[in-house]
Amino acid sequence: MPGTTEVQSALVADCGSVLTKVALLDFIGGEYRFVARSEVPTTTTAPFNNVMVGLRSAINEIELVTGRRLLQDGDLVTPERDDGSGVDAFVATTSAAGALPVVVAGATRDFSTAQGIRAVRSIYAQVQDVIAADSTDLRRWSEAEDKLELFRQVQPEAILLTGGFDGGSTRHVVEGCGIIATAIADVRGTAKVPLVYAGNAAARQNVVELLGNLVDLRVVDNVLPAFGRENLAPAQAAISELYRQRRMARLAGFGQLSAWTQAPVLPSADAQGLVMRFLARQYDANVVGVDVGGDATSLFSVLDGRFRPLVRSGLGVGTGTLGVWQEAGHRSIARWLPYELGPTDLRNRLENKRLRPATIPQTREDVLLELALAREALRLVVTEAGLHGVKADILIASGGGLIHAAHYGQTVLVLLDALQPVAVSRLWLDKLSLLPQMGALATLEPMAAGQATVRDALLPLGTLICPVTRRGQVAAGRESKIALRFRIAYAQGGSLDVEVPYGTLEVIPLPPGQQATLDLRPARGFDIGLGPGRAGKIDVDGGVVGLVVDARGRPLALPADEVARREKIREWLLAVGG
Amino acid sequence: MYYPPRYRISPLTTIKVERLLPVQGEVLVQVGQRVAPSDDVAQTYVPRQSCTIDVARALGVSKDRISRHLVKGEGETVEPDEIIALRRGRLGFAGRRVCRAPVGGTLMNPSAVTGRVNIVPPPTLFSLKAHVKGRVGNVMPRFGVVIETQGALIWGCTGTGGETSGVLKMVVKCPEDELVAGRIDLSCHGSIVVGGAWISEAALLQAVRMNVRGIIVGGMDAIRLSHSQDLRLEGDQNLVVVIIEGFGRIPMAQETFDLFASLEGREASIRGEVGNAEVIVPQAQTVAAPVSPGREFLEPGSTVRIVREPYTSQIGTVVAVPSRARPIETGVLVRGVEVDLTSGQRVFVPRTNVELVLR
Repeated sequence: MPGTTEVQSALVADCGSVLTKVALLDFIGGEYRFVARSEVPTTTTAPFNNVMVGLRSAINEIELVTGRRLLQDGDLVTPERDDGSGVDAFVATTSAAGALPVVVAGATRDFSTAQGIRAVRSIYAQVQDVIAADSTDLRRWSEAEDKLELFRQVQPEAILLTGGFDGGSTRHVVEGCGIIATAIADVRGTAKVPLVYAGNAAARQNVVELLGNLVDLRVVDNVLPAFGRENLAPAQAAISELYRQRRMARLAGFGQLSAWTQAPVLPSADAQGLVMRFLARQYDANVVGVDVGGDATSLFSVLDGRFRPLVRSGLGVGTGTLGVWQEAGHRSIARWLPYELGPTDLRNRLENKRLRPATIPQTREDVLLELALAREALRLVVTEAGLHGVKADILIASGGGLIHAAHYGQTVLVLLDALQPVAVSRLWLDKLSLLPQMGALATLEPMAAGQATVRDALLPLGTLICPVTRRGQVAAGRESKIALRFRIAYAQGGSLDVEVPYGTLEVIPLPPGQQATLDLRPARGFDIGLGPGRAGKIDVDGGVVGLVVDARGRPLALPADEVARREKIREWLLAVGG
Repeated sequence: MYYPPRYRISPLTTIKVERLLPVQGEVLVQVGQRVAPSDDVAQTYVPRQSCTIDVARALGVSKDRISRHLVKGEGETVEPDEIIALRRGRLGFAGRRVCRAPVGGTLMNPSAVTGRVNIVPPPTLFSLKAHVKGRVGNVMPRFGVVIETQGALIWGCTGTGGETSGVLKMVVKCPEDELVAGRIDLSCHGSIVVGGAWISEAALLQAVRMNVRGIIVGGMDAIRLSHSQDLRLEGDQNLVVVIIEGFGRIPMAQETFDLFASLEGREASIRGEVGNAEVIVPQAQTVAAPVSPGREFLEPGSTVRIVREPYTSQIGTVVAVPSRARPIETGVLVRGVEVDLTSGQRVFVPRTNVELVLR
């Protein structure tokens, strides 16, 4: 039976910063299944300047492929009609509205503003500046003078003010208010800038008195109510709400998009976060999902039931290429290439991609460059989240930066290089870029979203096994030591004994739908998540890549010599399929 | 229907150029009036960035006491270097401290919380030029005008910002030629030079020395773009560069290069805005120029420009638009188009990698 709202069919759309993706789902054979999808460039810029142009274009393409009429005179046909035209539901997500420029102010750089930044980076927002009021008066004010100048230049669309533990001193918060009051007096126009206060509850009255007339004040619970006790959710919700009001609502065509949908249009990152939480509950597992998009790179982790999103706007493989270049630098990007590429040529290629973000690499060199860029975007995000060497049961890859690889092995290699996971993980790929839409659909029809996500959205890439030593890299010269021995007993019969030397990457085919039991025997000192040197048996599922054993060590080390490094990259690429 | 990005290369078309003031002001021309690129068509007063002064620190007094020391009140006009606040010493001038206005303007927002004041300088006059030779087609009172002209229109993909006009001068012989310093001499003074595939840093500097007004080139190193935004000519104008194809060494498409060659010696107006770079070459015509081409979509017969390796900047004709995805060289399945290149080669390219050529 379909869900309670009797939704028999749904059209789900994600209007991304670069591409608009639309998919058709239908209730077939007792469950919701994916039927067709299309992907066209998002049309928020000239000459179209309206997100609906691209959306209609994508729906047109589904009509052509399926022969099913979905639009009539430019409007969506809904509900589904007896002749099979139309759909019962339409939901949408978007990341096309651009990042919300935010200034984070707080008492201390190490605590309150750091928490503030983490709260802001849960949605498509750009931290334009940080004003921390710690340190001595002189230093603080000399710093503040520069910051005020910047404050005037960035003209934030929102301010997040944090500071102090609940019940603690209010001095720094009051001083922070002073800085903001001066800047606001200078930058204020006709509309008041929204300010979210998420600091010491005892200072709320001071904040209201000092800033109440200058800003559009919103007071939420403290991001750091006590030492070591983080509470980001209320501030995250407030910033997310501001993003919807001030960015999404101003997206050209958003009014009509909202009129079409049966559930509120969600920011893509929020929607994708919902899916990650659903999967973590569904499989009772630690889940880490990454999304490398055109303008933003996101990481969603659900570890021990705790959900943490991290969205870095301005880091991506489309319009966000320059951000990756600026933060990672030429050397970091180029180190993943099996060919030589100087800084000038690299920058030119990145700028060309930024200029035409929807283009698809048509040469192997270009594919490898975009994957190198994806690695670095991911590495930056993973480092910020403190998840290098993460131990997750399920790793999920999404976004144009990962799904446009020449083959799935390359995608797996990007994940391994950037996340450097340890122990055993299942790897899934959001091959159809459906996860954000599934999150939006879940708010309307959870069963449809759940079934389509599990059945169609996620392509199993395989199972990953990463034996590591407690001391990190094995000393040079001992690289041929066997890190892991195991026997694969295939569910369909037969077995295979495998030895994986330290420093290597091995792929053993295990096609999708097949299962096997692995009898794992790590060498002394090596850990596969069971404890150093401890053996064990696990059941694994196959995937389009298969069983991947990454015994290259953690942290991953690349040869310092350029020629040797390029040779090593070639070797790893070859190991995963070329 | 898939809407491809567009690339315009029109030898003769009707062009409408919108000229808008940054803030509301006064339009100086009337509908039907003929204008030259350097004519003022509108003007307005533009507010300037205010200046914050830490009076409390300058005088060494507490923030909440600055109002006692201000000698100018909120809303009063101050001159540059004029004393705005004063702390008298106890014994005559001993210990006396003053705070002067770094700029002239209106004193605003004295704050007892921060101990600071703002000085808002008077607005400056901004004159909007016509930019192109033509006729005023429409006047939007207080906002600006639309200038209409007929001539050639070529879009660039990006540029250094700014706009200028001058006589077109070809300084290379073919699209593959690189624009090096030796090709720019005194004869280029005041003109807009057209290069081929790439421009060197030395050539950019030479262009500034020769007071070249603008450069049109196939490709340019991205790192030079930001540097060249700071290159200043006589009269503090910046050197305007329009990039036609993209970043790096990219020969201009032969058709585009040939069009520029045919327009040599004519006055061109160029704009180097990122996302809105263009070259306009007005031409006196006795016959009406077409307003716009008809094609909107990719279909057999469409002319396209390929914008990604390995066929970057090549112009060709679409021969098929398969409805199903097909593999490209990398193995990825994509929706694409089959294109006959002018070289005679037939290639399949992702549809996102082509721009529809409008003439």
